[in-house]
Amino acid sequence: MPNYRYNSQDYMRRRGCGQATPSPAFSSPQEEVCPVCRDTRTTYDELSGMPLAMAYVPWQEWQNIYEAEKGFCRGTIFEELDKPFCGIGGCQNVR
Amino acid sequence: MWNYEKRLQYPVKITQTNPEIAQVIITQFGGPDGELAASMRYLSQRYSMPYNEVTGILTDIGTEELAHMEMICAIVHQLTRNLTPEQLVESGFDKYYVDHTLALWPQAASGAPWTATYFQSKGDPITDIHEDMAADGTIL
Amino acid sequence: MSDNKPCRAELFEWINVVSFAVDDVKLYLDTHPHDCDALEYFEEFKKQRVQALKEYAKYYSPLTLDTACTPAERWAWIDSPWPWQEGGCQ
Repeated sequence: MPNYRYNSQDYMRRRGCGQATPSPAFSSPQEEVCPVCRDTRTTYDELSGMPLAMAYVPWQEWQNIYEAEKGFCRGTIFEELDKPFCGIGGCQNVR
Repeated sequence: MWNYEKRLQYPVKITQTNPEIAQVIITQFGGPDGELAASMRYLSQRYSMPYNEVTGILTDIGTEELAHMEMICAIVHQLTRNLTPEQLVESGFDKYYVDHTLALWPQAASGAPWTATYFQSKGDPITDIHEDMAADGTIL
Repeated sequence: MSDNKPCRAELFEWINVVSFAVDDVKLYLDTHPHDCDALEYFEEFKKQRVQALKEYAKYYSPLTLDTACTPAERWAWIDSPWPWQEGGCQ
């Protein structure tokens, strides 16, 4: 009977090497071979190579800070987090 | 420990009473997606977080949610000032009034009392943060 | 002789505005503890807030226990209006 007990080495040998590929905006998918692990992946998936079954959240940067008075009115000093509730099923006013 | 500041985070100045809508808004105080649940969720989860950054943000957001809770209570309080018996009956607010008069009591709009079952705190950081994202969407 | 007493409503509004800026940057710094721009932003608005709270307590009433003026003739902390009451937001 094969040994199915947990071995961290097995879990490290996942598809791809975890190298993020740069993703040009709106490019059409094209096959590319990763020079490190020889894995083929499409170039437009920013999460390509990341472990499956996990949720990922983009990292916030310090940018586009509102004036203090505007921040107070909008409920956030961060323009990127200014997401008004429109009540129309997940849409928001596109700026 | 906590300090108190004698101001609301954002002013609440309601001039026109409206007991009908007060019954709905109270859910943002004591309902399943309300500020009390939010506050207790974060303040409970922070004890078992293994990273200072996360403990810090849970502490600070949990504290801020208490301030939000205060604003919701202020809204309900101002919407239900000086009600006549006729207004109480007509609005349906009499159901709440009979048990609490004009006091604030944490319940959902349905009348269901606030309960710790409105949140989860499991001790696994990924699980707890998923709970937070489900509850608060854009905040975390 | 006028003491340059600031307008109560305007000073209160300013306290709200700068305090909110502090609140939001504080959350950002919790997860970005080394961000210099954010640290600078925090310093600036913290300074404004501390100054504004002191002024408000001096001319009107204390909004925090730290700014409650003593010695004083009476304990103003318990004065109406409270924040949720009419006139409590100015």
